[in-house]
Amino acid sequence: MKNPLIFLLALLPFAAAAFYVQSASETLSDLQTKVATLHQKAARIEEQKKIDACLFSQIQKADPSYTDTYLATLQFLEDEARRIQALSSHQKENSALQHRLDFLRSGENRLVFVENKRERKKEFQEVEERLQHPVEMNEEDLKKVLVLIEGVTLNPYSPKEGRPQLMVTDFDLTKRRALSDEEVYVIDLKLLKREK
Amino acid sequence: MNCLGISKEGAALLCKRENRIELEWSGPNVKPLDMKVHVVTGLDTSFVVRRETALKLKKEKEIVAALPFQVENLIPFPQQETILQPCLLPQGEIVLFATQKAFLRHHLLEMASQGIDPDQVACVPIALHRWGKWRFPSHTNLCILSSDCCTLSLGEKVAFAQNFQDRERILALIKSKYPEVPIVEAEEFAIPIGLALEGFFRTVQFRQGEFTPLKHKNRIRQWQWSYVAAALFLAATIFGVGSYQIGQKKFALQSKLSQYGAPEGGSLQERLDAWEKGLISQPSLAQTTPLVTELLHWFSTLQAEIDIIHLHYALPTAKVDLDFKAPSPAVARAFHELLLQGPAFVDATKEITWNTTQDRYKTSFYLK
Repeated sequence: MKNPLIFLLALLPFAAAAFYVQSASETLSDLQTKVATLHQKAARIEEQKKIDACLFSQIQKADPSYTDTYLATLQFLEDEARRIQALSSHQKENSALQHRLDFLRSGENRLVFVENKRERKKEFQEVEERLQHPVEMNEEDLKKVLVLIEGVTLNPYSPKEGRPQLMVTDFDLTKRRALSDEEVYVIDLKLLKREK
Repeated sequence: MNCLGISKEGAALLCKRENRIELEWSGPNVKPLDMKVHVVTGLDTSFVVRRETALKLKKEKEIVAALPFQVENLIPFPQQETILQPCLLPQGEIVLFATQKAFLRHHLLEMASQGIDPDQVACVPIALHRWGKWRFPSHTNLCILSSDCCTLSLGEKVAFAQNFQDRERILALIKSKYPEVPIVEAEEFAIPIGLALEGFFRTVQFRQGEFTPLKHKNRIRQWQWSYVAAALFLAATIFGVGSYQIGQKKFALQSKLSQYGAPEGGSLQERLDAWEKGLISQPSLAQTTPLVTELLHWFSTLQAEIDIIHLHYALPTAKVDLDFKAPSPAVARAFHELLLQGPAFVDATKEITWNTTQDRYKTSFYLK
Protein backbone atom coordinates (compact mmCIF):
# COMPACT_ATOMS: atom_id res chain seq x y z
CA MET A 1 0.00 0.00 0.00
CA LYS A 2 2.05 2.93 -1.24
CA ASN A 3 -0.74 5.47 -0.92
CA PRO A 4 -3.23 4.40 1.70
CA LEU A 5 -5.02 7.74 1.37
CA ILE A 6 -5.86 7.02 -2.27
CA PHE A 7 -7.31 3.67 -1.28
CA LEU A 8 -9.40 5.27 1.42
CA LEU A 9 -10.53 8.19 -0.78
CA ALA A 10 -11.48 5.79 -3.55
CA LEU A 11 -13.82 4.07 -1.12
CA LEU A 12 -15.64 7.34 -0.33
CA PRO A 13 -18.01 7.34 -3.35
CA PHE A 14 -18.72 3.68 -2.67
CA ALA A 15 -19.51 4.46 0.97
CA ALA A 16 -21.65 7.46 -0.04
CA ALA A 17 -23.60 5.39 -2.57
CA ALA A 18 -24.11 2.60 -0.06
CA PHE A 19 -25.24 5.11 2.58
CA TYR A 20 -27.66 6.75 0.12
CA VAL A 21 -29.19 3.42 -0.94
CA GLN A 22 -29.40 2.24 2.67
CA SER A 23 -31.09 5.41 3.95
CA ALA A 24 -33.46 5.55 0.95
CA SER A 25 -34.37 1.90 1.60
CA GLU A 26 -35.06 2.66 5.23
CA THR A 27 -37.25 5.65 4.32
CA LEU A 28 -39.11 3.49 1.83
CA SER A 29 -39.49 0.74 4.39
CA ASP A 30 -41.00 3.29 6.81
CA LEU A 31 -43.40 4.44 4.10
CA GLN A 32 -44.37 0.82 3.38
CA THR A 33 -45.09 0.28 7.07
CA LYS A 34 -47.15 3.47 7.16
CA VAL A 35 -49.12 2.39 4.07
CA ALA A 36 -49.84 -0.98 5.71
CA THR A 37 -50.92 0.73 8.96
CA LEU A 38 -53.17 3.21 7.14
CA HIS A 39 -54.64 0.42 5.03
CA GLN A 40 -55.50 -1.49 8.21
CA LYS A 41 -56.96 1.65 9.73
CA ALA A 42 -59.03 2.31 6.61
CA ALA A 43 -60.30 -1.29 6.64
CA ARG A 44 -61.14 -1.00 10.33
CA ILE A 45 -63.05 2.26 9.77
CA GLU A 46 -64.88 0.66 6.84
CA GLU A 47 -65.77 -2.35 8.97
CA GLN A 48 -66.88 -0.06 11.80
CA LYS A 49 -69.08 1.87 9.38
CA LYS A 50 -70.78 -1.36 8.31
CA ILE A 51 -71.37 -2.43 11.92
CA ASP A 52 -72.63 1.03 12.82
CA ALA A 53 -74.97 0.98 9.83
CA CYS A 54 -76.39 -2.35 11.06
CA LEU A 55 -76.75 -1.00 14.59
CA PHE A 56 -78.30 2.18 13.29
CA SER A 57 -80.81 0.16 11.32
CA GLN A 58 -81.50 -1.93 14.44
CA ILE A 59 -82.07 1.29 16.43
CA GLN A 60 -84.41 2.65 13.78
CA LYS A 61 -86.47 -0.56 13.76
CA ALA A 62 -86.45 -0.94 17.56
CA ASP A 63 -89.69 -1.60 19.41
CA PRO A 64 -90.11 1.21 21.99
CA SER A 65 -91.91 -1.16 24.35
CA TYR A 66 -89.31 -3.97 24.03
CA THR A 67 -88.20 -3.90 27.68
CA ASP A 68 -91.78 -3.71 28.94
CA THR A 69 -92.95 -6.45 26.59
CA TYR A 70 -90.19 -8.98 27.00
CA LEU A 71 -88.11 -8.15 30.07
CA ALA A 72 -90.60 -6.76 32.55
CA THR A 73 -92.94 -9.71 31.97
CA LEU A 74 -90.38 -12.40 32.78
CA GLN A 75 -91.17 -14.54 35.81
CA PHE A 76 -88.21 -16.03 37.69
CA LEU A 77 -87.66 -19.04 39.92
CA GLU A 78 -90.89 -20.68 38.73
CA ASP A 79 -89.79 -24.18 39.78
CA GLU A 80 -89.13 -22.94 43.30
CA ALA A 81 -92.49 -21.17 43.36
CA ARG A 82 -94.24 -24.39 42.31
CA ARG A 83 -92.47 -26.41 45.00
CA ILE A 84 -93.28 -23.83 47.70
CA GLN A 85 -96.88 -23.73 46.48
CA ALA A 86 -97.09 -27.50 46.92
CA LEU A 87 -95.46 -27.35 50.35
CA SER A 88 -97.52 -24.42 51.63
CA SER A 89 -100.78 -26.27 51.03
CA HIS A 90 -99.56 -28.72 53.71
CA GLN A 91 -97.83 -26.14 55.93
CA LYS A 92 -100.28 -23.27 55.98
CA GLU A 93 -98.92 -21.97 59.29
CA ASN A 94 -95.34 -21.64 57.84
CA SER A 95 -95.22 -17.88 57.36
CA ALA A 96 -91.71 -17.93 55.89
CA LEU A 97 -92.90 -20.17 53.07
CA GLN A 98 -95.94 -17.98 52.52
CA HIS A 99 -93.79 -14.86 52.51
CA ARG A 100 -91.40 -16.38 49.97
CA LEU A 101 -94.27 -17.45 47.73
CA ASP A 102 -95.73 -13.97 47.87
CA PHE A 103 -92.33 -12.52 46.89
CA LEU A 104 -92.04 -14.84 43.92
CA ARG A 105 -95.62 -14.56 42.70
CA SER A 106 -96.61 -11.00 43.53
CA GLY A 107 -94.44 -9.35 40.90
CA GLU A 108 -91.97 -8.07 43.44
CA ASN A 109 -89.26 -10.24 41.84
CA ARG A 110 -89.52 -8.82 38.33
CA LEU A 111 -87.31 -6.66 36.19
CA VAL A 112 -88.52 -3.13 36.69
CA PHE A 113 -86.32 -0.54 35.05
CA VAL A 114 -86.24 3.09 36.02
CA GLU A 115 -84.80 5.79 33.82
CA ASN A 116 -81.66 7.43 35.09
CA LYS A 117 -80.83 9.76 32.26
CA ARG A 118 -82.07 10.44 28.74
CA GLU A 119 -79.98 12.12 26.10
CA ARG A 120 -81.11 13.08 22.61
CA LYS A 121 -78.47 12.41 19.97
CA LYS A 122 -78.64 13.46 16.33
CA GLU A 123 -80.46 10.41 15.01
CA PHE A 124 -81.41 8.46 18.13
CA GLN A 125 -81.78 8.83 21.85
CA GLU A 126 -79.72 7.22 24.58
CA VAL A 127 -81.41 6.17 27.80
CA GLU A 128 -79.60 5.01 30.89
CA GLU A 129 -81.78 2.63 32.90
CA ARG A 130 -81.26 0.76 36.12
CA LEU A 131 -83.17 -1.89 37.96
CA GLN A 132 -85.47 -0.49 40.57
CA HIS A 133 -84.42 -3.34 42.86
CA PRO A 134 -82.24 -6.43 42.51
CA VAL A 135 -83.93 -9.54 41.21
CA GLU A 136 -83.46 -13.17 42.20
CA MET A 137 -83.17 -15.79 39.47
CA ASN A 138 -81.62 -19.11 38.65
CA GLU A 139 -79.16 -19.94 35.88
CA GLU A 140 -81.84 -20.56 33.25
CA ASP A 141 -83.55 -17.27 34.10
CA LEU A 142 -80.23 -15.46 33.78
CA LYS A 143 -79.72 -16.98 30.33
CA LYS A 144 -83.18 -15.76 29.25
CA VAL A 145 -82.42 -12.23 30.48
CA LEU A 146 -79.02 -12.03 28.80
CA VAL A 147 -80.42 -13.37 25.52
CA LEU A 148 -83.09 -10.67 25.53
CA ILE A 149 -80.70 -7.88 26.49
CA GLU A 150 -77.50 -8.73 24.64
CA GLY A 151 -79.15 -10.29 21.62
CA VAL A 152 -77.10 -13.50 21.75
CA THR A 153 -78.43 -17.01 21.22
CA LEU A 154 -78.08 -19.44 24.12
CA ASN A 155 -79.85 -22.70 23.35
CA PRO A 156 -82.78 -23.03 23.62
CA TYR A 157 -83.25 -19.25 23.91
CA SER A 158 -82.92 -16.76 21.07
CA PRO A 159 -83.37 -12.98 20.87
CA LYS A 160 -86.66 -11.34 19.97
CA GLU A 161 -87.50 -9.02 17.10
CA GLY A 162 -87.52 -5.25 17.65
CA ARG A 163 -84.67 -5.22 20.15
CA PRO A 164 -83.22 -1.73 20.59
CA GLN A 165 -79.48 -1.53 21.10
CA LEU A 166 -79.08 -2.61 24.71
CA MET A 167 -75.80 -2.67 26.54
CA VAL A 168 -75.22 -3.84 30.11
CA THR A 169 -73.11 -1.07 31.61
CA ASP A 170 -73.11 -2.47 35.12
CA PHE A 171 -73.71 -6.06 36.09
CA ASP A 172 -73.77 -7.30 39.66
CA LEU A 173 -74.29 -10.95 40.55
CA THR A 174 -74.41 -12.37 44.08
CA LYS A 175 -74.96 -16.02 44.69
CA ARG A 176 -76.94 -17.02 47.74
CA ARG A 177 -78.97 -19.91 49.06
CA ALA A 178 -82.75 -19.56 48.99
CA LEU A 179 -85.21 -20.81 51.58
CA SER A 180 -85.68 -24.00 49.61
CA ASP A 181 -81.92 -24.56 49.86
CA GLU A 182 -81.54 -23.85 46.15
CA GLU A 183 -78.79 -21.61 44.80
CA VAL A 184 -80.15 -18.37 43.38
CA TYR A 185 -78.46 -15.36 41.85
CA VAL A 186 -79.30 -11.87 43.01
CA ILE A 187 -78.87 -9.72 39.95
CA ASP A 188 -78.62 -5.98 39.70
CA LEU A 189 -78.27 -4.29 36.31
CA LYS A 190 -77.74 -0.97 34.60
CA LEU A 191 -78.48 -0.67 30.93
CA LEU A 192 -77.76 1.74 28.13
CA LYS A 193 -80.57 1.74 25.61
CA ARG A 194 -80.41 3.34 22.17
CA GLU A 195 -83.72 3.80 20.39
CA LYS A 196 -85.41 6.03 17.91
CA MET B 1 7.36 -17.84 -14.27
CA ASN B 2 10.69 -17.16 -15.94
CA CYS B 3 13.78 -15.48 -14.55
CA LEU B 4 16.70 -14.17 -16.56
CA GLY B 5 20.02 -13.71 -14.75
CA ILE B 6 22.56 -11.40 -16.37
CA SER B 7 26.15 -10.87 -15.30
CA LYS B 8 29.46 -9.92 -16.94
CA GLU B 9 30.15 -13.52 -17.89
CA GLY B 10 26.84 -14.12 -19.61
CA ALA B 11 23.15 -14.83 -19.09
CA ALA B 12 20.91 -17.70 -18.05
CA LEU B 13 17.17 -18.28 -18.34
CA LEU B 14 15.38 -20.43 -15.77
CA CYS B 15 11.75 -21.48 -15.89
CA LYS B 16 9.59 -22.71 -13.07
CA ARG B 17 7.24 -25.47 -14.12
CA GLU B 18 5.11 -27.36 -11.62
CA ASN B 19 7.34 -26.26 -8.73
CA ARG B 20 10.49 -27.39 -10.53
CA ILE B 21 13.07 -24.86 -11.63
CA GLU B 22 14.68 -25.79 -14.91
CA LEU B 23 17.54 -24.20 -16.81
CA GLU B 24 16.30 -23.20 -20.27
CA TRP B 25 19.60 -21.97 -21.55
CA SER B 26 22.81 -20.24 -20.50
CA GLY B 27 25.39 -18.51 -22.67
CA PRO B 28 27.65 -15.56 -23.08
CA ASN B 29 24.95 -13.36 -24.67
CA VAL B 30 21.33 -12.61 -23.98
CA LYS B 31 19.09 -14.30 -26.51
CA PRO B 32 16.09 -12.47 -27.90
CA LEU B 33 13.11 -13.48 -25.78
CA ASP B 34 9.45 -13.71 -26.72
CA MET B 35 8.23 -14.22 -23.17
CA LYS B 36 7.75 -12.20 -20.04
CA VAL B 37 10.78 -12.57 -17.79
CA HIS B 38 11.95 -11.23 -14.46
CA VAL B 39 15.41 -9.79 -15.15
CA VAL B 40 17.99 -10.07 -12.35
CA THR B 41 21.45 -8.55 -12.35
CA GLY B 42 24.00 -8.53 -9.56
CA LEU B 43 26.51 -6.20 -7.96
CA ASP B 44 30.02 -7.53 -7.72
CA THR B 45 31.21 -8.74 -4.33
CA SER B 46 33.54 -5.76 -4.03
CA PHE B 47 30.53 -3.36 -4.08
CA VAL B 48 28.65 -5.26 -1.41
CA VAL B 49 29.20 -5.57 2.31
CA ARG B 50 27.94 -8.66 4.15
CA ARG B 51 27.29 -8.38 7.89
CA GLU B 52 25.58 -10.45 10.54
CA THR B 53 23.51 -9.23 13.43
CA ALA B 54 20.66 -10.38 15.65
CA LEU B 55 17.54 -8.59 16.85
CA LYS B 56 14.99 -9.70 19.38
CA LEU B 57 12.19 -8.29 17.25
CA LYS B 58 10.09 -10.83 15.42
CA LYS B 59 8.06 -8.82 12.91
CA GLU B 60 9.86 -8.15 9.65
CA LYS B 61 8.51 -4.59 9.49
CA GLU B 62 9.91 -3.77 12.93
CA ILE B 63 13.28 -5.35 12.07
CA VAL B 64 13.56 -3.33 8.86
CA ALA B 65 12.68 -0.15 10.76
CA ALA B 66 15.20 -0.77 13.55
CA LEU B 67 18.02 -2.12 11.41
CA PRO B 68 19.59 1.10 10.09
CA PHE B 69 20.28 2.30 13.65
CA GLN B 70 21.39 -1.13 14.78
CA VAL B 71 23.99 -1.58 12.04
CA GLU B 72 25.10 2.01 11.67
CA ASN B 73 28.54 1.20 13.05
CA LEU B 74 28.89 -2.05 11.10
CA ILE B 75 28.50 -0.53 7.64
CA PRO B 76 31.42 1.43 6.16
CA PHE B 77 29.13 3.74 4.13
CA PRO B 78 27.45 6.99 5.13
CA GLN B 79 23.95 6.15 6.40
CA GLN B 80 22.16 8.41 3.90
CA GLU B 81 24.00 6.72 1.03
CA THR B 82 23.45 3.15 2.18
CA ILE B 83 21.01 0.64 0.81
CA LEU B 84 20.36 -2.20 3.23
CA GLN B 85 18.95 -5.59 2.43
CA PRO B 86 18.39 -7.84 5.44
CA CYS B 87 17.90 -11.57 5.01
CA LEU B 88 15.99 -12.91 8.00
CA LEU B 89 17.00 -16.33 9.23
CA PRO B 90 15.40 -18.47 11.91
CA GLN B 91 16.15 -17.66 15.59
CA GLY B 92 16.41 -13.93 14.98
CA GLU B 93 19.65 -14.15 13.00
CA ILE B 94 20.01 -11.56 10.29
CA VAL B 95 22.45 -11.61 7.39
CA LEU B 96 22.71 -8.19 5.98
CA PHE B 97 23.83 -7.09 2.53
CA ALA B 98 24.57 -3.43 2.03
CA THR B 99 25.74 -1.29 -0.84
CA GLN B 100 26.16 2.34 -1.62
CA LYS B 101 23.69 4.25 -3.75
CA ALA B 102 26.53 5.39 -5.99
CA PHE B 103 27.52 1.77 -6.76
CA LEU B 104 23.96 0.89 -7.63
CA ARG B 105 23.55 4.01 -9.74
CA HIS B 106 26.70 3.14 -11.61
CA HIS B 107 25.55 -0.46 -12.08
CA LEU B 108 22.19 0.63 -13.43
CA LEU B 109 23.84 3.05 -15.84
CA GLU B 110 26.11 0.31 -17.04
CA MET B 111 23.12 -1.99 -17.57
CA ALA B 112 21.15 0.79 -19.29
CA SER B 113 24.06 1.29 -21.72
CA GLN B 114 23.48 -2.35 -22.74
CA GLY B 115 19.75 -1.78 -23.01
CA ILE B 116 18.96 -3.67 -19.82
CA ASP B 117 16.57 -2.41 -17.14
CA PRO B 118 16.70 -5.09 -14.43
CA ASP B 119 13.65 -5.85 -12.33
CA GLN B 120 15.91 -6.90 -9.48
CA VAL B 121 19.49 -6.07 -8.58
CA ALA B 122 20.97 -8.70 -6.26
CA CYS B 123 24.67 -9.48 -5.72
CA VAL B 124 27.24 -12.07 -6.68
CA PRO B 125 27.52 -13.71 -3.20
CA ILE B 126 23.82 -14.50 -3.08
CA ALA B 127 23.96 -15.69 -6.71
CA LEU B 128 26.79 -18.14 -5.87
CA HIS B 129 24.90 -19.25 -2.77
CA ARG B 130 21.76 -19.96 -4.87
CA TRP B 131 23.76 -21.70 -7.57
CA GLY B 132 25.51 -23.92 -4.99
CA LYS B 133 22.18 -24.94 -3.42
CA TRP B 134 20.75 -25.69 -6.86
CA ARG B 135 23.78 -27.49 -8.31
CA PHE B 136 24.65 -29.50 -5.18
CA PRO B 137 21.33 -30.07 -3.40
CA SER B 138 22.73 -32.82 -1.18
CA HIS B 139 25.34 -30.47 0.37
CA THR B 140 24.06 -28.42 3.31
CA ASN B 141 27.30 -26.50 3.62
CA LEU B 142 29.43 -25.47 0.69
CA CYS B 143 32.29 -23.14 -0.18
CA ILE B 144 32.05 -21.85 -3.75
CA LEU B 145 34.97 -20.28 -5.48
CA SER B 146 34.47 -18.17 -8.57
CA SER B 147 37.15 -16.47 -10.60
CA ASP B 148 37.41 -13.53 -8.23
CA CYS B 149 35.45 -14.29 -5.06
CA CYS B 150 34.61 -16.85 -2.46
CA THR B 151 31.20 -17.53 -0.90
CA LEU B 152 30.58 -19.81 2.06
CA SER B 153 27.08 -21.25 2.44
CA LEU B 154 26.17 -22.76 5.79
CA GLY B 155 22.64 -24.02 5.46
CA GLU B 156 20.48 -21.14 4.28
CA LYS B 157 22.97 -18.59 5.47
CA VAL B 158 25.64 -16.83 3.41
CA ALA B 159 28.27 -17.08 6.11
CA PHE B 160 31.17 -15.50 4.24
CA ALA B 161 31.62 -13.58 0.99
CA GLN B 162 34.77 -11.88 -0.10
CA ASN B 163 36.70 -10.85 -3.18
CA PHE B 164 40.05 -12.49 -3.66
CA GLN B 165 43.06 -10.45 -2.89
CA ASP B 166 44.97 -13.46 -1.76
CA ARG B 167 43.15 -16.61 -2.91
CA GLU B 168 45.46 -19.01 -1.08
CA ARG B 169 45.18 -17.19 2.23
CA ILE B 170 41.36 -17.20 2.12
CA LEU B 171 41.28 -20.86 1.15
CA ALA B 172 43.60 -21.70 4.03
CA LEU B 173 41.40 -19.73 6.36
CA ILE B 174 38.23 -21.54 5.22
CA LYS B 175 39.93 -24.93 5.38
CA SER B 176 41.20 -24.31 8.89
CA LYS B 177 37.94 -22.88 10.19
CA TYR B 178 35.53 -25.19 8.33
CA PRO B 179 37.57 -28.35 7.55
CA GLU B 180 34.46 -30.43 6.74
CA VAL B 181 32.92 -27.98 4.27
CA PRO B 182 33.50 -29.09 0.66
CA ILE B 183 35.03 -26.51 -1.65
CA VAL B 184 33.78 -26.34 -5.22
CA GLU B 185 34.74 -24.22 -8.21
CA ALA B 186 31.87 -22.27 -9.74
CA GLU B 187 31.02 -23.69 -13.14
CA GLU B 188 30.59 -21.66 -16.28
CA PHE B 189 27.63 -19.25 -16.05
CA ALA B 190 27.20 -20.10 -12.37
CA ILE B 191 26.65 -16.42 -11.49
CA PRO B 192 23.92 -15.69 -14.11
CA ILE B 193 22.26 -18.99 -13.18
CA GLY B 194 22.46 -18.02 -9.49
CA LEU B 195 21.06 -14.55 -10.25
CA ALA B 196 18.18 -16.10 -12.16
CA LEU B 197 17.58 -18.47 -9.22
CA GLU B 198 17.55 -15.49 -6.86
CA GLY B 199 14.77 -14.07 -9.03
CA PHE B 200 12.55 -16.84 -7.72
CA PHE B 201 13.51 -16.25 -4.06
CA ARG B 202 13.86 -12.44 -4.10
CA THR B 203 15.73 -12.19 -0.81
CA VAL B 204 18.14 -9.51 -2.06
CA GLN B 205 16.77 -6.52 -3.94
CA PHE B 206 18.82 -3.33 -3.98
CA ARG B 207 16.39 -1.55 -6.30
CA GLN B 208 14.48 0.04 -3.45
CA GLY B 209 12.88 3.47 -2.97
CA GLU B 210 14.16 5.89 -5.55
CA PHE B 211 15.72 3.01 -7.51
CA THR B 212 12.46 1.10 -7.94
CA PRO B 213 12.16 0.13 -11.62
CA LEU B 214 9.96 2.52 -13.56
CA LYS B 215 7.93 -0.38 -14.92
CA HIS B 216 7.24 -1.47 -11.33
CA LYS B 217 6.18 2.06 -10.41
CA ASN B 218 3.97 2.15 -13.50
CA ARG B 219 2.52 -1.21 -12.64
CA ILE B 220 1.70 0.03 -9.12
CA ARG B 221 0.26 3.23 -10.53
CA GLN B 222 -1.78 1.23 -13.03
CA TRP B 223 -3.00 -1.01 -10.26
CA GLN B 224 -3.94 2.02 -8.17
CA TRP B 225 -5.92 3.54 -11.02
CA SER B 226 -7.61 0.21 -11.65
CA TYR B 227 -8.52 0.11 -7.99
CA VAL B 228 -9.91 3.66 -8.09
CA ALA B 229 -11.82 2.88 -11.29
CA ALA B 230 -13.20 -0.33 -9.80
CA ALA B 231 -14.26 1.52 -6.64
CA LEU B 232 -15.98 4.22 -8.71
CA PHE B 233 -17.63 1.60 -10.91
CA LEU B 234 -18.82 -0.26 -7.83
CA ALA B 235 -20.16 2.98 -6.32
CA ALA B 236 -21.94 3.86 -9.58
CA THR B 237 -23.36 0.34 -9.84
CA ILE B 238 -24.63 0.36 -6.28
CA PHE B 239 -26.10 3.82 -6.77
CA GLY B 240 -27.69 2.89 -10.11
CA VAL B 241 -29.07 -0.50 -9.13
CA GLY B 242 -30.15 0.77 -5.69
CA SER B 243 -31.90 3.83 -7.16
CA TYR B 244 -33.61 1.68 -9.79
CA GLN B 245 -34.88 -0.79 -7.21
CA ILE B 246 -36.04 1.99 -4.88
CA GLY B 247 -37.77 3.68 -7.83
CA GLN B 248 -39.54 0.42 -8.70
CA LYS B 249 -40.65 -0.05 -5.11
CA LYS B 250 -41.89 3.55 -4.94
CA PHE B 251 -43.85 3.03 -8.13
CA ALA B 252 -45.38 -0.15 -6.71
CA LEU B 253 -46.26 1.71 -3.53
CA GLN B 254 -47.90 4.54 -5.54
CA SER B 255 -50.00 1.93 -7.38
CA LYS B 256 -50.93 0.30 -4.10
CA LEU B 257 -52.01 3.67 -2.70
CA SER B 258 -54.25 4.26 -5.72
CA GLN B 259 -55.67 0.78 -5.27
CA TYR B 260 -56.40 1.49 -1.60
CA GLY B 261 -58.20 4.69 -2.53
CA ALA B 262 -55.66 7.20 -1.23
CA PRO B 263 -55.91 10.71 -2.73
CA GLU B 264 -54.13 11.12 -6.09
CA GLY B 265 -51.36 13.61 -6.89
CA GLY B 266 -48.20 14.67 -5.12
CA SER B 267 -45.31 12.72 -3.76
CA LEU B 268 -45.63 9.49 -1.84
CA GLN B 269 -45.29 11.29 1.47
CA GLU B 270 -47.85 13.97 0.49
CA ARG B 271 -50.36 11.31 -0.59
CA LEU B 272 -49.87 9.42 2.65
CA ASP B 273 -50.34 12.58 4.73
CA ALA B 274 -53.53 13.46 2.83
CA TRP B 275 -54.82 9.91 3.23
CA GLU B 276 -54.06 9.90 6.94
CA LYS B 277 -55.90 13.20 7.39
CA GLY B 278 -58.97 11.74 5.69
CA LEU B 279 -59.03 8.65 7.89
CA ILE B 280 -60.73 10.04 10.97
CA SER B 281 -62.52 7.36 12.93
CA GLN B 282 -65.80 8.24 14.63
CA PRO B 283 -66.68 6.68 17.97
CA SER B 284 -68.45 3.45 17.19
CA LEU B 285 -71.96 2.57 18.32
CA ALA B 286 -70.87 -1.01 18.87
CA GLN B 287 -69.77 -2.37 22.21
CA THR B 288 -66.04 -2.95 22.03
CA THR B 289 -65.70 -4.67 25.39
CA PRO B 290 -66.82 -8.28 26.03
CA LEU B 291 -70.52 -8.91 26.72
CA VAL B 292 -71.68 -10.20 30.10
CA THR B 293 -72.68 -13.42 28.32
CA GLU B 294 -69.16 -13.82 26.98
CA LEU B 295 -67.64 -13.21 30.42
CA LEU B 296 -69.91 -15.80 32.07
CA HIS B 297 -69.24 -18.24 29.24
CA TRP B 298 -65.50 -17.77 29.76
CA PHE B 299 -65.88 -18.60 33.48
CA SER B 300 -67.84 -21.74 32.57
CA THR B 301 -65.03 -22.93 30.27
CA LEU B 302 -62.27 -22.53 32.85
CA GLN B 303 -60.50 -25.71 33.92
CA ALA B 304 -60.14 -24.32 37.43
CA GLU B 305 -63.64 -24.97 38.85
CA ILE B 306 -64.23 -21.90 40.95
CA ASP B 307 -67.46 -21.18 42.82
CA ILE B 308 -68.47 -17.57 42.14
CA ILE B 309 -69.92 -15.84 45.19
CA HIS B 310 -70.03 -12.33 43.81
CA LEU B 311 -69.30 -10.84 40.43
CA HIS B 312 -69.34 -7.22 39.37
CA TYR B 313 -68.63 -6.09 35.82
CA ALA B 314 -68.78 -2.41 34.89
CA LEU B 315 -68.34 -0.41 31.70
CA PRO B 316 -66.67 1.57 30.28
CA THR B 317 -63.60 0.46 32.27
CA ALA B 318 -64.48 -3.23 31.75
CA LYS B 319 -63.32 -3.90 35.28
CA VAL B 320 -64.29 -7.22 36.84
CA ASP B 321 -64.46 -7.71 40.61
CA LEU B 322 -64.75 -11.33 41.54
CA ASP B 323 -65.30 -12.99 44.89
CA PHE B 324 -65.12 -16.79 44.76
CA LYS B 325 -64.44 -20.00 46.62
CA ALA B 326 -62.18 -22.73 45.36
CA PRO B 327 -62.20 -26.44 46.29
CA SER B 328 -58.47 -26.21 47.07
CA PRO B 329 -55.72 -23.55 47.16
CA ALA B 330 -54.18 -25.25 44.12
CA VAL B 331 -57.30 -24.53 42.06
CA ALA B 332 -57.26 -20.89 43.18
CA ARG B 333 -53.56 -20.65 42.39
CA ALA B 334 -54.16 -22.13 38.94
CA PHE B 335 -56.83 -19.49 38.31
CA HIS B 336 -54.51 -16.72 39.52
CA GLU B 337 -51.72 -17.94 37.24
CA LEU B 338 -54.16 -18.07 34.36
CA LEU B 339 -55.08 -14.43 34.97
CA LEU B 340 -51.41 -13.42 35.10
CA GLN B 341 -50.71 -15.18 31.80
CA GLY B 342 -53.29 -12.85 30.25
CA PRO B 343 -55.74 -15.16 28.51
CA ALA B 344 -57.69 -13.97 25.47
CA PHE B 345 -60.15 -11.92 27.51
CA VAL B 346 -57.99 -10.43 30.23
CA ASP B 347 -55.92 -7.30 29.75
CA ALA B 348 -52.64 -8.34 31.34
CA THR B 349 -51.21 -4.85 30.87
CA LYS B 350 -53.55 -3.50 33.55
CA GLU B 351 -53.57 -4.12 37.26
CA ILE B 352 -54.65 -7.53 38.55
CA THR B 353 -55.34 -7.60 42.29
CA TRP B 354 -55.52 -10.74 44.41
CA ASN B 355 -56.61 -11.18 48.04
CA THR B 356 -57.14 -14.32 50.07
CA THR B 357 -59.22 -14.77 53.21
CA GLN B 358 -59.30 -18.40 54.34
CA ASP B 359 -61.04 -20.30 51.51
CA ARG B 360 -62.36 -17.16 49.81
CA TYR B 361 -60.54 -15.25 47.17
CA LYS B 362 -61.06 -11.76 45.84
CA THR B 363 -59.60 -10.59 42.59
CA SER B 364 -60.07 -7.73 40.21
CA PHE B 365 -58.89 -7.44 36.62
CA TYR B 366 -59.74 -5.68 33.40
CA LEU B 367 -61.09 -7.14 30.19
CA LYS B 368 -59.89 -6.12 26.76
